[in-house]
Amino acid sequence: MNQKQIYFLENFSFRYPYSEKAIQWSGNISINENEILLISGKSGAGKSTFLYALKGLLPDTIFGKLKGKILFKGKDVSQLSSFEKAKIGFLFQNPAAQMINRTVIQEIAFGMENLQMKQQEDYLKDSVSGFIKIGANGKIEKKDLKEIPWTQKFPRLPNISKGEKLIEIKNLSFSYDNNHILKGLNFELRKKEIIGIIGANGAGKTTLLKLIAGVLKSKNGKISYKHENIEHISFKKYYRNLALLFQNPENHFLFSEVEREIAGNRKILDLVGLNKMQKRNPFTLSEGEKRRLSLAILWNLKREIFLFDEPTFGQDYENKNKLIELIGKMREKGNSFIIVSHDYPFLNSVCDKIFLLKNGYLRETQIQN
Amino acid sequence: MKFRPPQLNELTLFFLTFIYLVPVLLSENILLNFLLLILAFINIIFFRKIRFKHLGLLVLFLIIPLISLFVTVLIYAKGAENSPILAEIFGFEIKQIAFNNALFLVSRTFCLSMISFLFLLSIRYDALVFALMQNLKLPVSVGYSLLATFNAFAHLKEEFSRIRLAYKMRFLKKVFPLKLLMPMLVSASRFAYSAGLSMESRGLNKQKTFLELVRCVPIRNIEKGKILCFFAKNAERK
Repeated sequence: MNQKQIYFLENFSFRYPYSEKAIQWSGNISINENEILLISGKSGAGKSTFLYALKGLLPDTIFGKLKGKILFKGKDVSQLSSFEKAKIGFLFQNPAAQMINRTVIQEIAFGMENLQMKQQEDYLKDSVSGFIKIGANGKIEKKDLKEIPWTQKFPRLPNISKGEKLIEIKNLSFSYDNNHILKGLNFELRKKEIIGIIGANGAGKTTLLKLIAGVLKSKNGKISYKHENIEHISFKKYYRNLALLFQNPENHFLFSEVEREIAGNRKILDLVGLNKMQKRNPFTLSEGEKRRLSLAILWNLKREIFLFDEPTFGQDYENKNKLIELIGKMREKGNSFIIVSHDYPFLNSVCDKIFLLKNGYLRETQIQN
Repeated sequence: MKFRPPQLNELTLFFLTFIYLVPVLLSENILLNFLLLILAFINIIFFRKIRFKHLGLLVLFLIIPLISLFVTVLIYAKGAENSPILAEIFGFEIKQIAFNNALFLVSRTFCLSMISFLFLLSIRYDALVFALMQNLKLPVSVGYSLLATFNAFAHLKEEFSRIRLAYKMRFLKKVFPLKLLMPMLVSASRFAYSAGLSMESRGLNKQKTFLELVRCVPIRNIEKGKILCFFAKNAERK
């Protein structure tokens, strides 16, 4: 098949002003029409930067040292007009930060207006032809599809005996403006137990965590901690035993040094593999490191129960493995967990029980060994 | 989903605010001030839904400053020495001029605040920015930055509540908001960076088209303004 060339990259490399490592490609690569390319690599390897380069955002919008050639339909991408650049679609990792307008219709129209269009034609291409892997050294290699690790398998945490009942949820219901999110939920969490909750977007997983954390209050049902209704427990007493890990690890950072975040407890930094980063600013760490630091912060609080909201969001295979290892260590010390996630392989490897939250009801699913 | 354009151009509503405010500033007639306030109110409820709860809250907030202003003018009004005494309370003489001045200043402050707030409540900020871009040639880069900033408030509010909860869980005490300044600044700068990239990558440029066309029809309102100014001038002469 004679395919039309869309992109052509030759000896491309890019280095951020504050970074020692450059993302580089020695050789030529062409991306053709009707091709779908997968770009894979570890957290912080430069996958997003590579996409910024294809979009023509380097080096004028995002500063740095760009070498080599990136041609889009035979034209240097940095020389494209904003009108031409707008024809290259770009979907960011965080959709919330991508929104500019107040209404959905204005948001959809924004891109089309910039293209001076009045109607949108949308079509999907469904063929995957190859993938690019970005290694730890920042070097880009083109690989064959057969080399992609399509399924992620994690080691399962060993089963250990559970202790007393910590959290008990009875007939819990919750609704936002007559929209019934949760309908009569029942489950319990025991000491050293890990419970996973899986469900579609908007199923009410985070709402459930907020209810357990006491951030939201339900008029129907009861949540008890050690046989006492949490509504009758002071927040000081309750939070001395419970902590919530947010999806965005930066929500936990308050200080300008990693060391200060964990109140100088270097043992914990060793355990999470951040011992060489004590003086670093937490906000400048890579995504995986930030996640591990947020876990270290919670671990240092010595709480009994941990509620995790999407702990594997944006994490690569290696970081997920480290996370599983950490959760295992924390459980050995007597901690219990309720983990909300979309990541079934991850939940399957760490949880004692997995519940599916669907249409407001909770149903236990089978763990696969 | 059907998109319904606003009934009244926000720019017109924006300038209408000044059309009501300027006569209040020029006039020295208490009745005219209140008449303008009532007119502004009728004008607004004709076009927009008003949350009376918010208006009520503003009145509550205004009560103390207005009483303070009234008492201050009553005590320290200039040129009131030779004015006839209106009343005597606990040995304090209330002079006619001082009383009139106090009442007038209070009415003016009240009317200015209420009219401004009425329009503030009814103006749709995003539609106003679109109107400014389309009718007054506000650069699109500035306009969309303003829209992104308005969106950032909701995002940052969410971030703030999460960070505050994280703090509360960690230190087992309620937090003084200033302590969360650094994480909030980081969050705001991250949002600004992403929004900027989003605008750039979606090809924001001067030659863009607009799905929603905001047409400006200011003639009727300018006419209204002229009439109000005329009344204000006449009232002053009297």
